[in-house]
Amino acid sequence: MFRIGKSLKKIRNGTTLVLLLIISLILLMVSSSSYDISPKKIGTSFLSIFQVTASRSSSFISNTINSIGELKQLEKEHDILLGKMEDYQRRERDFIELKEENSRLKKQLNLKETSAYKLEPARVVAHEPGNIFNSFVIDKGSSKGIEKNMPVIAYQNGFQGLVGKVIEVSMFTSRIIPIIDNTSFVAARLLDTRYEGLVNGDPELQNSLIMNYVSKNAAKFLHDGDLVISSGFQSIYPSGIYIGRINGVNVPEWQTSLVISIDPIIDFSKLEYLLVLTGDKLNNE
Amino acid sequence: MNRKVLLLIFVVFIAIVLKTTVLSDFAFKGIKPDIILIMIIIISNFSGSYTGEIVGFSTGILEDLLSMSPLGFNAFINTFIGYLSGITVGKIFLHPLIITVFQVIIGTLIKSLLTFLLLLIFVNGKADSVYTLSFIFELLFNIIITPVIFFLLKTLKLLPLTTNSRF
Repeated sequence: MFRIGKSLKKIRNGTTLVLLLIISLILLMVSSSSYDISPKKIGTSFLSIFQVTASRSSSFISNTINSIGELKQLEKEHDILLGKMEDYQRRERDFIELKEENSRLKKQLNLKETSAYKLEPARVVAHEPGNIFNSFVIDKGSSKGIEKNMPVIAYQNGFQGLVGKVIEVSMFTSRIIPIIDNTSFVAARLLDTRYEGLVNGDPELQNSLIMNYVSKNAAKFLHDGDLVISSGFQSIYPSGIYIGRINGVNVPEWQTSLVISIDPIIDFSKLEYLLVLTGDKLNNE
Repeated sequence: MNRKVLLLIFVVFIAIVLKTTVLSDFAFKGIKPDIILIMIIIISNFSGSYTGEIVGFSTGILEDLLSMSPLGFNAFINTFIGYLSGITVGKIFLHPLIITVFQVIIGTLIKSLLTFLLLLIFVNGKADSVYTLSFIFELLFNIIITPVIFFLLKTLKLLPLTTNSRF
């Protein structure tokens, strides 16, 4: 009797295992193909509410605790800032003069006016649960005009750096794939030497990039610390946005081009706020 | 499905949400321990294969929805690991923590193998990133964090008494 019960239990466990594995495989096959409305998309929209709630609750609690200490700090900063303001007023006058002079010179050189993009600020609310995929979720979705494939940038240490692009959009959140993912590719250019190549995430190292397809002739002109920017060539990413700095150049004998290691300009572990480029260039009239 | 299993699924779901939000900074050089895998192994080790595979599948689906991975990816891996971890119930008579740590090592290795195979079949260009230095760090993190999660689940009285836990 005991043996029969044990055998039945084994059959039940085995059948459930096979059934669940088959369901998983069917879901994998369906969601791997490119359907616009997938079961994953519907589920993500619903579950993202929990992520946004958890993230906002934790930041509310930590902000409340920090705000007490910040009050004293603010008083000190207030005095310092008053002094700085006078300095900035003087600088602003200089800046206006320089801008006018710059505009005149540009017109003489027949160059386009400086332009900006329509930007939607957003906050990172969730990261990937695992280590294989690289993505994060922001608190703005289709309700704020975010669309798939929109480029994302951020400001860190005085640089406007390229973060990645939007890959999934739900009503209130969007998923971003960063440029450090090895399936993410950006057409890039070396700022000083103007050599072009293709940047993607290093599959061997987390938070690192590699640049391929740079001509071997460029090797003698490249130095550690040289800046790499987006080239905008046949790409969704606009040109001139900082990507990173060179931290090593390999010259493989079996390849016709260089393999350049790059440290991203953006520290992705510290990324909190970013900007989604939601529109084309706006010309400053 | 009884109430206890639903409670376990809910607890692991809370852990997934916290892992992706509040605890996302808990990483070394971008590598995080796989607390979900550890929780599934502990639950399965105490409750058997059936509960293990049900909890594994349900939480795997939730993990897929909150991740860039295709739907069914983590569900497949977690179901398989949930089932495997439960088959030792009543067969090995060692302290449950020792069994769990050992199973976490085996589970991490099996997970990496399944991840590699599924990525090779279903996701283009991702299989290269499985067996890197990050994998060693993840394995070490998992071993270190296992006792913490083990005692946390025990303190919360979420683990039932089975043959493996009589010590």
